[in-house]
Formats: sequence, C-alpha cells, structure tokens
Amino acid sequence: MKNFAFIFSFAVMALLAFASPASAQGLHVTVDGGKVNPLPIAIPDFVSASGAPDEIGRNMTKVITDDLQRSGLFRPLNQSSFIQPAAAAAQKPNFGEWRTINAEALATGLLSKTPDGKTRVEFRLWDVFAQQQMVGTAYMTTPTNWRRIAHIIADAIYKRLTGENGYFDTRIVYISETGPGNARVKRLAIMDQDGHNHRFLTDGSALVLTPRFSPTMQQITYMAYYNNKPRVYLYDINSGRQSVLGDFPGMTFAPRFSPDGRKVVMSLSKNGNSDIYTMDLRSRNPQRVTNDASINTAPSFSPDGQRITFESDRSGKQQIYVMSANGGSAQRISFGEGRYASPVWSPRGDLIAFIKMSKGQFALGVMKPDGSGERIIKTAYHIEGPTWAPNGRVLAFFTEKPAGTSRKAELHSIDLTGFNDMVIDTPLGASDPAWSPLNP
Amino acid sequence: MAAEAVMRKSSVSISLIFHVMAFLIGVISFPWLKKDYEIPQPVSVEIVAIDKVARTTKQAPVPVKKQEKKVEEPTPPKPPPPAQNTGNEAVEPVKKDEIKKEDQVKKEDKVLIDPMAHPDKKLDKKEEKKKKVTEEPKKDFASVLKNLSDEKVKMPPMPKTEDMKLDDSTPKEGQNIPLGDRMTMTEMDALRAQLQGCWNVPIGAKDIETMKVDIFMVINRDRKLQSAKVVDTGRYNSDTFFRAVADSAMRAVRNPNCSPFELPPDKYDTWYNTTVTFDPSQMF
Repeated sequence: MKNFAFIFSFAVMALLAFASPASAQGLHVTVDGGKVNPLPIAIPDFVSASGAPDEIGRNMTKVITDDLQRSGLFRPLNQSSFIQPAAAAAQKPNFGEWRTINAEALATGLLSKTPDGKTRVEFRLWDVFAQQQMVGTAYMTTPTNWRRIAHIIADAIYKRLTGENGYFDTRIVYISETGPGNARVKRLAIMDQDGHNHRFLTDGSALVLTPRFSPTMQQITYMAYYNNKPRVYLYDINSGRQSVLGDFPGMTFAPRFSPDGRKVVMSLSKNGNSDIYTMDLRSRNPQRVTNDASINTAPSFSPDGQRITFESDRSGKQQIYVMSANGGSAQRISFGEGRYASPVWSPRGDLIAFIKMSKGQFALGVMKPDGSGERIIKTAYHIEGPTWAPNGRVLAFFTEKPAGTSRKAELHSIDLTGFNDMVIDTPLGASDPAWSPLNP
Repeated sequence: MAAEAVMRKSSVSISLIFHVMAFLIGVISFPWLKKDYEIPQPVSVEIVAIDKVARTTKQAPVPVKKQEKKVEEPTPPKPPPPAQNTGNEAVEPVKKDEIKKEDQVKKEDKVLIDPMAHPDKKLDKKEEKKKKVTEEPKKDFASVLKNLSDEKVKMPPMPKTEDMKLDDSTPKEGQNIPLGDRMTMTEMDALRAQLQGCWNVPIGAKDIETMKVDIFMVINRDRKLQSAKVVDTGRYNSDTFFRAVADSAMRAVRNPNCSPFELPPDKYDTWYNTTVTFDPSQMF
C-alpha cells in the first residue's frame, strides 16, 4: 500500500511538472531590422578626485571624444546638453538625467596624484538604460603620458560596446612626400593614429617605400634603394636598431610579416617571373611557395598564418588568389570586371581588402576570403596601399589627385562598412601607410 | 500462490496509476475535455491596407547606390616603377623612437573597481526636466553596407551547404490561446515596428548576419518593462561580439522611446511574458 501511494504521488507530480497550461509560453515576436546610427554616449570632463576641474582631465576627455567620434560608431553628445555636473556624475550618476538627453552610455573619470608623483585615472563606463556599471578600471602612469591613457580608455569603451578590440592606442608609419614629381623627397615617418606625436624616422637622402608593420611587435620592414637596387630593412622602432634583410632585385613591395611576427612573405623576381617566398627572420632562408610562370606578387598572410592571399596574372589579367602558406594549388577569388591588386587579409580574418582598377578608375574594396560579398567602399582617381587597423575593422589607404592639380597624396581611414571616410592629417603629402599593433 | 496474488495486485495498481495519468494528461492538455470550452467560430478576415504604425515583416529591398563619377583623366597612372637611386650613399642611421620606461603604462597597477556596482536604482519621482537638446543631424545610412559598384560579380558555382534549420523549439506566436485573445498581425507589427525604431544595430560586427539574440521580457499591465534578460547567457559571457549585439538588443527594449510598449491593454494575459528575437540577418 505504501509503495502504491508513493508511486501514485510521484506520477501525479511528474505529470503536473510536464503539463503545459494554455498560455504559459507567452508572446514571441521577431524584430528583423533596426536603425544604423552611431551610439550616443555622454563623456563629461574627467575631474580631479576633489571634484574640481582638471586640465589633464579635460584634455583626456577631448582625446577620448575625438577617438570615438572619428570611429564613426559613436556620437559623443554635446557637453552643453548635460544636466548633471561632471563631478557629481563621476561620483554617482543620476541616470534619469542622462536618459533625458538620450545618452545610452556614460563615461566618467576621476584623476588623483599618487605619493610618488604619478597620475591615477579612475574610469567607469555606465549603461544608462540598465543603470549599471559596465567597466571600472584605474590606470597609473606619469602625468606626461596622459594621451596614451586617453587612447587606452577609448579602446576600453570601444571594446565593451562593440565587442571588437580597439585601435586607438596604435601608430601609423607612412611615407612622407614632398617636392615635384620628378624630384620627390620621401621620408619614413611615424605618428599616433590620430595624427599626434608625429616625427620623421629617415632624412630623405634615400628613397624609401612601402613600410610594413609587424602585427605583434614594434618592428617594420621597409624598402630603400641602395646602389640602384631595392634593399629591405628590418627596423625596431623602440630600440632604433635596424638590420638589412637582403637585397632583392626587382622587388616592388617590402615583405609583410606573418601573424606571429617571426616570418615575412614576399615576392622575388627571377628570369622575368615573380614568385612568392616566405622567410624565417632568424634563419633568413627564403622558402618558395608558388612555382608559376607568371607574375605572383603582393602576398599577405591570413591571421592564423595558414594561408596567403596574393595577386597573380596567371589567368591573363591581375586577379586575387588564396592558397596554403606551405604551397600547393591556388584558388582564384576575384571575378569582377577590371584588374585586382594589393590584397591584404584582415586581422579579423573575415575579409580581404584589395585595390581594383576598372573603367579608368581606382577603387578600394573588400571581399570574403572565398571571394563572395565583394563590395567597393571607395573610388578615386588613384588609391593604393590598404592597411588594416589591428582590430580588422578600419582600413587606412592613400589617394592621389590627378597630374595638373597639386599632387598631394593624402592618407585616409574608412570603416569596413564603407562609411566614415576621413582624412588623416599629416604635415606633408603622405602615402604607403602601415598600421601598428596596439602599443605594448 | 500468495506471491502470485501479490504480483497480480501490484500489476493492477500500476495499470490503474497509468490510466489515471493518461486521464489527467487528457484533461489538462486537451481543451475539448473542458466543459466550458466552446469550439471557436470561423472568423472572417477583411483585407485592409496596413496602417501607418504596422509594417510587414519583410523589408523592401534596399536600393544599391549607383555612384557615377566623372573621370578627370582618361588614363590612370601605372603603379610606380622602382625609382632611380639618387646617390651611392648608404641609408643613414634612423633616429630612435624611444619610449621611456616611466612612460609605459603599468598594467600591474590596473585595479578593477566594483565591477558590478549598482548605485541607487530608484528613479526620481519628480517629473523629469525636459530640456531641449539640439541634436546633431542623424547620419542616415542609405544602405546597410556600402557598395559603390553596381556590378554583379558572377562567382563560380559553390558546393551546396546545409540549409540553415529553422529553430522550431520556440513556441509559435499565440499558440494555445483562445482566438479572441490572440494578438493580431497588426498588433504584433506595431510592437515590431516600435522596437525596430529603438534597435541600433551594430552592423559592422563580425558575423553580425548570423547573430540572433533572444530577449525574454516580463511586462507590467501598464505596458512598461518590468524586467528583461538575455536568454543565451552562456554565449553572452563567452562571445564578446554576441555580447555587443545582445547589449544593443537590451538597450532597445529599455529605451525610453519604446516605453510603454505598443501592446493592446486588453490582452495583458497574452503579452505579459514576451520573448523578442532580434535577428539582423534580413538586413544583409
């Protein structure tokens, strides 16, 4: 009898647990579209811990605001619209007042001095609608390094709200150009990605071309002409040490680094052909990758280092190919009208940027590694030199105006969606940009 | 004999239990066993124009921008040939770009402050000041992802991939609800359109076209949000891209511009638990 009662009770309970009354599932709606607007964010001035205005705090706020604004993904709100004062917001945000001005995110900062003279920046990022803190971090550095802290904070905001790694704490190496077309003076130059802290690395006495940045280290390769031959240099930006990678007759582009920074990939010319080689930076021993009676050039590694993309005229016209980094057959991935060149694999892995020449015009485009989804995101009289920011979201490139106009070359950056085309200010004409990884 | 009798008894008991279970399942799950259930009469459907608030679920195809620029010069320049060497001098040593040690940011000094601090959530009961804000003109993206070319690139045939299986595990809208209490298409379109207006889609995110986020909401009778949560918490905590899209969906349902929700007040029992699937795939 006891067993019977136990089994019966258990059965009833199990039944009730699995039975489904009429409307417990609720309503289900699918939203299959939305708007595409920059995210409104409020960034009141960073203040001192006492609440007083702080000049460094104000400067940092401006750098953060400019970084986020330039990315095209954020819309920093005008400070004149703020209701709650910056000092109060940094202590305890009044979310109702920030919601009133349609801020969806709020970034606050407090500055203080440590006993050893360093600056401590306490930064918080708030979700205004959820009324919750999303990020809270403190940074300490010398007061003169405030600009880097600002970029690092901008990266933290960017990463938390977009899911992507940031790119604001990076630098761009490029070729600074000046002088008439038949006597061009070209110098290697470096600057922060926002154009600040600009300085020259060479003096212009030798022609320099196509710098390439290592994705992992503060190293670049670049080409310079020595005894009428292109010579490739490996240069450590932090230490200033440089070594000669080799003399490569017929080379037109400096080598690109592998994702781990230990190898480079390049094209070498022999007997009228050009083939792809990889080279370990320690052994300096080139390994052949392609073996084809055509021009194979401008190679770029995939972010996992397993494949390369390159340009080849084996089909009769310049096209883009993908193949294993160890050799083997190559798969053509470009099929549109015109000629394709300078493929560069995104660090994010999902896109390959390229230059296309068609109908008398140059274009910058992106496509997926299988060749699908080709999109042209910029056209101009002359575009070249695409380089990806380390997060694979933004491209830098350079354009030139036609002969007869002022032949100033200028650097641009653009989002991979094709929006937010912006000029990167440089003191002189600029070409061949190379984007650094995040600063260490 | 006695053992046989006991066995017969327990068999009967077990059989009885299962019969009772079957009966109770039938009573609870089969509506026609309810005494007061009426078979719904057929409802005549009048085809009307969709009103201003409601929208169809399918979006009109986004026109591709045709960008025609006049070429100023007929022939583009060739890629720059290797330049002549200007001299026999070796490249002079480059300048150092020193980063002083003290300028390096001390990562070990980073301190996480109150990672999930919750300041006072109490809202101001006073009517909030409405301050006129001069908003910058909205950047209206003509198409989701820019393509300046109108060329249709013909790809070679690709091997067939497995069709994406539709997820049938989520309950169909309005299932098992008496017809009169169900949400109409127009009513659901109204809510859908409202949330579309509040959802800022992070279009450049990696693999955005494959992201689907389910948000489960509990809604008060005044049609204001009581609580919301991301259903797939595992992925939220492990995938930063998914988290960014999920956060954008959460901001959409919490947006003051979407409060109160466009829901029929008299059908509270239908919508007090609502799951919204934010699916950007149709935008690409």
